[in-house]
Order: sequence, then structure tokens, then C-alpha cells
Amino acid sequence: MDFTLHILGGFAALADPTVLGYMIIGFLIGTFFGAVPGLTSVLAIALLLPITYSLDVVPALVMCASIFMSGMYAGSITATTINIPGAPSSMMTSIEGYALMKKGEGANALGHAALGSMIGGVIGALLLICLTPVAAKLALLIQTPGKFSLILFALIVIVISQRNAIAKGFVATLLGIMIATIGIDVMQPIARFNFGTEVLVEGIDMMPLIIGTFAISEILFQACENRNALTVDKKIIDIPPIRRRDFFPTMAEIREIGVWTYLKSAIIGYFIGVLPGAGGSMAAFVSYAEAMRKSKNPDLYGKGSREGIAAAETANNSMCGGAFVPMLMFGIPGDPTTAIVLGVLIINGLQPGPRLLDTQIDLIAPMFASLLVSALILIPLTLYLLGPYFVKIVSIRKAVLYSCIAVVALVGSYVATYSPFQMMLALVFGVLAFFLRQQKYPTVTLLLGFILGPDLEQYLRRSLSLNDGNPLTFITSPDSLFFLALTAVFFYFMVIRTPPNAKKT
Amino acid sequence: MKSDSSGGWDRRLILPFVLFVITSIYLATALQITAQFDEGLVGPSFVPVVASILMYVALAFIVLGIRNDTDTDTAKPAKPDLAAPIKVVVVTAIYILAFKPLGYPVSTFLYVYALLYIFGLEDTGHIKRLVYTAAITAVFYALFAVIFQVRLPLFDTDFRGMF
Repeated sequence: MDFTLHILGGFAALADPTVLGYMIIGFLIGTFFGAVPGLTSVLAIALLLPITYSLDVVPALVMCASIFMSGMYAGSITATTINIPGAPSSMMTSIEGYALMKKGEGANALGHAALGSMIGGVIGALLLICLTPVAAKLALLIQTPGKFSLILFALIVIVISQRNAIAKGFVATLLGIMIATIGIDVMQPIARFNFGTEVLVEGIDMMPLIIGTFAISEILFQACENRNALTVDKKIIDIPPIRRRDFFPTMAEIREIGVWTYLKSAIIGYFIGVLPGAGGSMAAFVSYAEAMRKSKNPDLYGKGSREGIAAAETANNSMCGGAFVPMLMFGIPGDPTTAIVLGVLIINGLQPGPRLLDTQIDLIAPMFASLLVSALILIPLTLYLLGPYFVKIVSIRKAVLYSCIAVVALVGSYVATYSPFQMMLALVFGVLAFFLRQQKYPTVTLLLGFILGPDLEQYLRRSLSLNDGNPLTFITSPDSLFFLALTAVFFYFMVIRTPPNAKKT
Repeated sequence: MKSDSSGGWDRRLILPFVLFVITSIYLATALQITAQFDEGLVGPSFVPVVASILMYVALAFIVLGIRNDTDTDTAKPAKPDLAAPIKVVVVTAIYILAFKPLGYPVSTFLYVYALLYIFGLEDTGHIKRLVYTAAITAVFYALFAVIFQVRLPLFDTDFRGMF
């Protein structure tokens, strides 16, 4: 009952004009970053991270949640209009949406994408609200060896979910763990890997790593790619004007897609979100494939299937709710965006864990409410008000855009400690991430390795210290054994049973 | 693909080699860590040593993948033009070094102007580019210093205290 009251209090908190303003600003920022190819909601929240130092925790978290939801939805805009997914999770939408666009039904496709995102976002947020107390009770049962095995499970799933680059994912994760070991040891008061310098004794802050990995590397990547803006401009010129009345999907179309498709996609998306490292792309792909498998009109897929758009968009927005569960309960981010939201929590002194719901629910509840309101109200409202102008978003000059991002990223790095050293670290990590990205190493796993590495080490050493150095504790402890078995199951299904032609380094 | 067309190293091997060197330095340092008190096998150097060994194994897989040419993700990549990223890194490094001594307004103005040039805003006139630069500098000054009350450096006459 208390929990329900706190959640209702979270909705009440959104009525505060300041909090509401931050939610709307966050939603618009997320829409912009989600829609522009090359920019993502991850980058938006990474750039926001330094600003959270100057914000109260509630507006900061509310803003993060609305950026997350809108960024996931907005990827469908350019996916549909110009066949360039604004976010990787909209890849499936681009196949079906752009096919409809070419038939002159682009506005209808945008409407179905928004409807799917709205339904998925709402179901995901409701599942998050309903299931978080259950997850918290389960989390309390996990002891130290179990925590180690859970983090090991998370790290292994993160690596093996990089289906085409498992070895590279492994390298990036290890690199993150290695960076995290710089500074004071997790158990003993000794400095490691400071190489005789004072500045490294305190370790590497999360902020320069996030800004370097997601913002600076993106700037370098764009400088290298020099994407041809003229190609995009040409496509924009060819787009017929979009009228508001065409956005609304008809009841006949919704009936044809079916309530079950929406519901099933939302549930798939939510539980894929719970898996560490899986993210919106996998949610959209799995739901899309499942919808196609069960479809009455599978021939329409690839030629403009509204069902395909609905399945993919419902799943990727539902994933937003799921991704918060492991982050809030165990400090294990479900995807890169929640990894940065975790940074916002830590910066503001909130420690993830089952006790969070007892001690800080008044700070967390508005974030849950923001997810729900963003999905239910802001997605359809934004489509209706701004929809006709969506395609103009991509015509912004890249030189101006990336100059702005560079200034926000670097000055943002400075804000944390008022030291240019943090800015320089951001540049160093940016260069490292740039080369990793060029060689198709997943940089997200680097961040997750950095975040989870210290906990992995701490729980390993603490478990062994408590059990006289006996490693059998990880097998004799039931919770630990459960996660180790789960790791083995995932490894079997995702690596060993994968068709040989799908296995790559 | 054993080597690239120039007959030298396959460029895809450069990053694993750099990571190999970094890991070796890391491992050598890890082995020198002295614990304050004995924790048995799993002391302060245990995870770093294990991470280093696993890194060697993963790098070996990647190198083997490249040599067997099974790594189709990065097979036969086009030679990237690194001129623009290098310019961005250089101007960013100069910006960081000049940020405190020159202050936010001057250093950011020069930095943005340089970035606009690198990112190819060449079809606009000099005046328009200056206007863009001034606008970006002013907008983010307003965002950080005015709205979020961040103390940004204005002009530091003490050039020694850059860090």
C-alpha cells in the first residue's frame, strides 16, 4: 500500500511546474537526439550527466526517463521518412515504414509507430511499477556469493549478446574492468595502477569515460565519416508534405494488427529489457520476427507491414521499463542508457539495491511516473504537434550540431571537478573509443565492464574471505548456483547452439 | 587476409597490438602490487592478473580471426581518412590546455570556429561562420553559467596553474 501511495506521489511530483518542465524539455531533447541519425538518447543523457550536478535529483531522473522513452520512439521518425534509422532499435521500422512512405502512406506509418511506442511504453512502465517490489523482495534473498555470480552472469550475457563480435565484446569488457581497477583497491587501502601520479589515486571518474566514449568518439567518428548531408537533403526534398489527419491509424488497421500482437511484443520487449546488455535493438528484432512468424499476412513483411512496425516499436519502448529493473535492484544496467542513468543515481548519492524502494522511493517514483506519462501523453502529443516538421530535424547543419555537442561534452567534463584534467581524460577515452568503434568493438560493453567490474571484484574477494578462501561456496550457495546455471543455459543457447555460420569473432 | 595491399601489416592488427602492449604494462604493474594484509590467493592483484590473462586469450582469438580472414565484420576495410579526426583531436587538446588560461569565452570561440572549419562549413561566408561561432559560444555560456550557475573561467592571468 505504501508503495502504491509513493507511486501516486510520483505522479503528483510531475505536477510541479519545474519538474514538468524538465520532463518536457527532456522529451524534446530525446526526440531530437533519437531522430537525428548518428545521435542517440545515450548521447543525450551522457551530455546531460554533468548538468545533473546542478539539478535536484528528481528533475534529473525525470528528465532522464523522458529522454529514454522519447529517444527510443523518435528513432522511427527518420527510419520511416528517409530510411535512415535514428536509433539502431528502429532498424525493423525502417524496413516497413519506408516501404509505406514510398507508397505515400508515411504519415500512417508514423502514426502506427507512435501508437506502438505509446502502448509499449505504457505497458513497460506499468510492469516496472508492478514488478519492482517483487524484484526487490527477491533481490534481498541474494547473498554475497550470489551477487558475484549474478554480476558474472550479467557480464557474460552482455558479451555473448554481441552475436557477431563476442571476442571483441570480451576485449572491450575487460578493458572496462581494467580501467575500473585504477585507484584505491576495493578491499584494502592501497592505490593500484596510479603509476606514481596523484591524479590517478582516486581512480577514473565515470563522467569522462561516458562523455569520451559516447560524445567525443561520436564527434571523431562523424569527422571521419563525413556523412554526406546532401544525400539526406535530396531525400528530404523528395518527401511529400505530411498532414496531421493522416497520422491517425484506423480501427480496421488496429484490429488487423490485433491486441495480442501489441501485448505480446510489449511483454517480449520488457523481459528482453531486463536482460543485461540486450537493449532495444534485440527487443525490436525478436518481436518483429515473432510477429512475422505468427502473422496472417507474412507476405506483407518487407513491403510495408503495419503489424511489423507495431511489433518492433511496441517492443523497443516496452524495453525501457524492463531495463530499469536490474539497474535499480542490482546496479546492473539493462542497456547503455540505464548505465548512464545509474551514473546519475550514483552522482546524486543514491545506491541501487533492494533497499532503494524503502529508503528513496520518493525520489524514484517520479521517474517511474515520467516513463508512463512520456509514453501515454507526450508521444502522441509530440507526433500531432511536431509531426509535420519531423523531417526538418535532419536538415540541421552537421558542423553546427557537432560543434555544439563538442562544447557541451568538454565543458560538461570540466563541471564535475572544475579541472581540465577531466576534460583531457574525456578526450583520451574518446580517442580510444573512436578506434574501438572503427574496428567494430562494442563500446557499450566497455562502459558496462567499467561499472560492474568493481562490484564483481569486491563480491568475489568478500565471498572468499568469508569462506576461508573456499571457491566451492559459489556452488554450494543456492542463489549463486542458480545464476551460474543460468549463465550456462544462456551460453548454451546463445553461443553453442548458434548455427556455425553465425559464429564470428 | 595476411597483409594489406601495401605488403605491410594488416591495419586491423594495429589495435590488438596496442591493446597487447597496454595489457602487458598493466600486468607487469599488477604483479608488483603489495597487499597491506594477506587475503590468500585472491588479493588486490588477483582480478587484474586474471583480466590480463583473459585479455591475452581474447586478443589471440581476434588475431587468429583476422589471419584466417573469418572476421568478415572488418574484412577488407576501406582505408579510413583520419585527417579530420586528427585535426579535431589536436584542436580539442589545445582547447583543453587553453580553457583555464584564456577563459571560456575566448577559448570556446576559437575552438568552435576551428570545429566549424574542420566539419566543412565552407559554403558559408566568413561573417556567417563568425556569427555561428559567437552564437554557439554565447548560448552555452548562458546554459552553463547563467542557468546552471557553473563557475566558468573567464581569464586567468596565472598561466602556470593550468592543471
